[in-house]
This record gives sequence, structure tokens and C-alpha cells, in this order.
Amino acid sequence: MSLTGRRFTVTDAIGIAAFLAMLIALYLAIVESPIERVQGIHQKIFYIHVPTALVGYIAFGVVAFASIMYVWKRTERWDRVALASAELGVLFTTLMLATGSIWGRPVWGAWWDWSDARLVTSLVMWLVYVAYLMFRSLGESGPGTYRSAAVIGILGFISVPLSYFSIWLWTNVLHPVPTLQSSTDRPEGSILVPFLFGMLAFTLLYAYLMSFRMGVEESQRELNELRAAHEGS
Amino acid sequence: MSRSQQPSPPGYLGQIRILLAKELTVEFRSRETAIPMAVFAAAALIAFQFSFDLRGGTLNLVAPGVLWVAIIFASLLALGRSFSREVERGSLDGLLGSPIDPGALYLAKVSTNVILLLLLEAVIIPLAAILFNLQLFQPTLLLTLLLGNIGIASVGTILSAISARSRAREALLPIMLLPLLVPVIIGAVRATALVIDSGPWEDIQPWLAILAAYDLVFLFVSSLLFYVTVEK
Repeated sequence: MSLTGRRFTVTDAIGIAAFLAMLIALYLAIVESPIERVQGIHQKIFYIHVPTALVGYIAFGVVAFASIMYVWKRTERWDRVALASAELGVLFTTLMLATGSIWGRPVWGAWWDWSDARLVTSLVMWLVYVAYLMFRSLGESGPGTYRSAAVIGILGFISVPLSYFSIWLWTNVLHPVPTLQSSTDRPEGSILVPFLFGMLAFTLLYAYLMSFRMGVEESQRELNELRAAHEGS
Repeated sequence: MSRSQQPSPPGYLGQIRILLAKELTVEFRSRETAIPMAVFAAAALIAFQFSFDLRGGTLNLVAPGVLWVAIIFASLLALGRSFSREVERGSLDGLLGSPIDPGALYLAKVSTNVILLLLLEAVIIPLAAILFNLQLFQPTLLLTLLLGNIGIASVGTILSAISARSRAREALLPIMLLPLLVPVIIGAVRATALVIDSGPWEDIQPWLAILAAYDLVFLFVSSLLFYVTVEK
């Protein structure tokens, strides 16, 4: 395969779909969606904040699932899935923490509030997976590291439901309970559609980056094997 | 020798008992973990005293956190030694070569670490009660300490096994342990604060329930997963 005459791959197709969905989601969120009565324009960041949070949870769920599969099947591909998804989970969770903080400044009057359970538990979740990535970067690549990483990937998952359910577990929270789930206060379609498009856009972006990152990791490991073989000969 | 006189191989609980006896013998002969832990925790308490000015009105607010941070930092000494000692002496391979269940090895190590933490607390709780004039001698506190210790040891032991074989083991254990222990820190500190303020049992009980649930989940999952971390 030559570098110049690159074939159009599935990854490219997902990438283009993600780009288009992102454009539509931004248009719907900025132009079409109504301005909220109390929070005003600041509320619009939720069309980014909530999808990044949910995609972050999904990414960490994929880490746990791939880790279980690695422990069970011992195929390296599952380890690559776990590594790639952990990196993306940290990326999306970072975006979630940043957008939440930007929203908090005008609405709560502070960038950060330690009394909010979800804010704190989300930060803990972020730290758990930063530690996971740190473990991976410190360990040499090999089945030993992959196995240990899988164990951390499974144990670390406890931080995900902790963050998700924190608003129900603690009473002193500033985070609102999802409006989509309370039947008395159903959101109008004009809020729902931009939100769903945001979800679609960020899910596609996750899928695209996953596919891309796994390709890079695959090439990296191939290169390492070739190097090892070359040094051995 | 007739067949009936041959000792049958010990079961799961028997294996835990034998391994625990071995761990305690090693510790009793060397005393290289329990005493440093207690000295470190006492030094930490005194350092906190100077950092926070633990007097008067703020004392009851700060003391539970101070106590648990001192316990968790001191636990790193026990947890760090737990497997690195075995790896250094090459005795881990011997243990794994013998017909024992890895889950039993894990639970024996957890029990050892819980006992070491209880020993540590037997020193620093009276010390804290005397130095800071706190009402610490209460049965509910003992339950909180026990549940907190199991939480620390259950996560810490499996992470110790993981980090013992890694290059940067001193850094990895605390980096991975502290975020995973946040639920334990929250539950234990809240329960301890209520105990110090002589809060009603109904208020303390939910925090102990969180601790107990966390302990059960981690003990169960880790004893199943432990074999993955030690296999060759």
C-alpha cells in the first residue's frame, strides 16, 4: 500500500459523518434552539456538555467491557480497544469538566463547587482513568502489563456509576436531575432535537477517533515487533 | 502408611488460615511494617496539628479527615511491602507454584493488611483521643474503622500485586489507590464525624452501608480477578 494513493476507508467515512453531524448539531444548538428563560444564553453549552459527559461514560464502559474480554479471550485486539477508549474517555471527560466549569462561572458564580457531588465524583472518575493511562505509559508493552491494565480497567469502572448516580445518592447537589426523565416537565421538541443531534455528533466523533487510534496503535505494535525481529537477527 | 492417615489438602478457608499464619509470623519476626506504620501515622498527626491548628470549634470538623488521611498514608507502607517483599525474595513464585488458590492468597494478604491497620489504629486512636481531647472510644467507631480498613486493604492489596512488578512501583500504588479510595474516604470520614459528634445511629448507618457495599464489591471482584495479576 503506497502512502500517496491511500484508499478510502470505513474510518474516513465515519469521520466525514461525524463532521457533518457536528455542523448540524452546532447549527441547531446555536441558531434553532430557544433561549432558556432563567439561565439565558449560558444554557446552550449543555448541548455540548451533556453529550461529552455521556460519551465519556460510554467510553469508560467500553474500557471495562474490553478489559473483561481481554481477561477472558486474551486477544491483543481487546487490549487495544481498552487503551484507545480510555484515552478518549479522558479526553471527553476533560471537555465535560471544562464546559461544566465555563457554565458554572456565570450561573453558579464560581468555576468550581466542592459541595456538588457530581462535580467531585466526575473529577474522581477522571483521576482514576488518568492513573490508568499513567500505568499504561509506565509499563513496558507485553502481556503482563495488558493483564494488569485490564484489572485496573475493571476495578476503575466503579467510579463511573459513582459519578452517574451521585445526584441521587447525595442530597446537597446543584446538578439538576435529567429533565428527560421527569414526566411532569417534559422538554419541548425544540430542545430535544438539538440535544439528540449533539449526542449523535459526539458518538460519531468517538467512533471515528476510536477507529483512528486503534489503527495507530496497531501500526505502533507492528513496528515494535519488526524492530525486535530486526535487532534479534 | 494407610491412606486415611494422609493429610488431605486444605480447603479454601484452610489455605487462607495457613497463609495468614505465615504472613503474621513473617511480620512478627521482622516487625518491619507495623512499627514504621505507627510511627509514621503519629508523626503525621503531629504534622497535621501544626498545619491546621486543631483546637476549639474547628477540631470536630477537621479531626475525622485528619485521622483517615493519616491512616490511608500509613496504609501505603503496609500495602507497598505486601507484594514487593515477595517479589524481591522470589518467594512469590514459590507461593504460586504451590497448590493454593490465588483467591485464597489474595484474601490472606487482605486479612494481614486489615490486621496491620487495626494495630496501627490501636496506637493512633488513643493518641488522637489524648492529644486532641476527642470522644473516640465508641463501639460505632470500631465498626467504622473495620469497614474502612477492609475497603483500603481490598483495593490496596490487588493494586500492590499489580505495582510490585512494575518499574515505577513506588509512584504507581498511591496514584492508583487514592482515586479508587474516594468512596471509602467519603463514607469513613462522614461516619467518623457523626460518631465524634455523638450523632444518632440512623444518620451513621447509611455511611456504614456505603462502606460495607464497597468492601463486598471489591473483595468479591478482586478475589476473582486476582489470578490474572499474578500469572506468568
